[in-house]
Amino acid sequence: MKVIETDGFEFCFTDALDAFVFDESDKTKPRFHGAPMKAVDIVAEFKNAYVYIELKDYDDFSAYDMLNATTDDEISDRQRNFKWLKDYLKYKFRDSYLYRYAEEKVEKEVHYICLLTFDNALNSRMQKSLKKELPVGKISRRWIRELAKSCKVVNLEKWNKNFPKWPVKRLD
Amino acid sequence: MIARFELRNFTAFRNLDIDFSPKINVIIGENNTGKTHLLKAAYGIYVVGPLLGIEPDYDAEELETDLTTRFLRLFLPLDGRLGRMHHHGAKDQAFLDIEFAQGQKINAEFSRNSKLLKIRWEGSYEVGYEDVAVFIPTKEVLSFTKGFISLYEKYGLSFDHTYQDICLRLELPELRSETLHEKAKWAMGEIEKICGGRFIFSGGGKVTFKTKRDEYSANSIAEGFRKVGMLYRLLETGAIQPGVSGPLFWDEPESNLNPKMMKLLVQILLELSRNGQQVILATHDYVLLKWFDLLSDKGKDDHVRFHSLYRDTKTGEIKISSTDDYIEIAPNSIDDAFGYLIDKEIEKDMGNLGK
Repeated sequence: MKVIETDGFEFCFTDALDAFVFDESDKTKPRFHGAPMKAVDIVAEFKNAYVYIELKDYDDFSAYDMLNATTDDEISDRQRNFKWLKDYLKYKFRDSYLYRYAEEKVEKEVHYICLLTFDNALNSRMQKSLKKELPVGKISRRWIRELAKSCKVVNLEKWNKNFPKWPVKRLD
Repeated sequence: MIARFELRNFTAFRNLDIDFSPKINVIIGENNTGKTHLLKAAYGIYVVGPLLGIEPDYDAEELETDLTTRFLRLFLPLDGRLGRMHHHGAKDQAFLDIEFAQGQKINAEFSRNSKLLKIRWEGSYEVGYEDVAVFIPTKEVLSFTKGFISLYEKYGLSFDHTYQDICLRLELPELRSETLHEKAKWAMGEIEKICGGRFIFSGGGKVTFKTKRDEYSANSIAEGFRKVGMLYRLLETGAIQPGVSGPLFWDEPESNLNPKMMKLLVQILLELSRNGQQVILATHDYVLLKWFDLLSDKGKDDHVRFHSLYRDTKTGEIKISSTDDYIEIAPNSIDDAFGYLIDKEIEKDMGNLGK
């Protein structure tokens, strides 16, 4: 069992072969990231897959909810915020994949899970946009393999419901 | 204005107690958790207040007969029997108790074998209770108002009484312009703008839609426009008059409505509530729910209370959870529907990973 603490959350990967803080910024740690690239928070390795995990804990998710923006200014603010967050999550995945490529650690399928403290409706919307842009699956006939097998955007409740072998809790 | 409503052993409800906001109340819940029954029950019993307001010496027996007929027509129980509205398996009397904002109380009770509702009331209704509540049912009615009222009186149609009531309200004459509430005028103007014209009522249920250049049959106009057209007309006739009329009950305002019109609808309802109109609506729609959360403004003293009806997993009873904070709605059947899609996608794309 691998227990990881990061950004105020504790993850327990009961069936992982390995799991670690991927964006480690402490130079003294053996898994210091040390590259000028964006990085997801956690990488966990399983028998047939790698799972990249990025988490964002927001107090006020309405800043990203462009569907329900009320004024033109709010619409453009929220569009900007939503796009910013989507790009942020997208480039974190891509840079992490490249980093792992350089480590020769992309031989298994890669799943990407973003743990965001939004409601399900907004998470669904973020997931749809992110899946398209990562992209998920073999989107070109020229591709021999895919970058990401899947991309999921979930909140804490959905995470614990869908991944009972990887319980996560907020630290006090 | 309703402050509190209690239901015991009535239709789906074993025991339910609701504190209403004097402004906006949004009721959510899965199908078969009693949202429409709750609206109809409150609407049905509320009528006693205005009746006593107009006629304080209303004969009690006559009142019971009238209210029983009204409930039977609102709920259309099997065989037209009052006892069919008694909660299945309950032994005690069915009981409805409504408390008004100024403290008056009206209650109604009946047993499985009752022929009539037994009504009791406390307090005086002589001031401020003359005006009736309005119930806007799920379906728009502008496409079939012609002849509906007389047909309904003569035949046992499959429409509940809310449809007859709303057609009667729509048939009222227009208020004089000088007596129209300023916010009603504003709302009517906004509806006219978004529809590109207005509905004209010529009596006998004849309704047309008039633009600057032409006039059309109401039936040839988009259903969503007909839906907001009902609101326009209710404002025009003063059936909805902020600060004067009883509560506005609205069952699924979103049905037939383009999601883009939701914002205006919520803006109108909030504006009416700021001017003394109590609103009690039931919805399945995320966009409508979120607009209330996003458009309500504490600086303008807005108050939106979300009521979630749900079935207790152990007892199977319908319960209610109320909150004034959108993020605290639990259970949230509307957001859960999105959550279910997320679950299914995870199952499909990730198989047994993490399970």
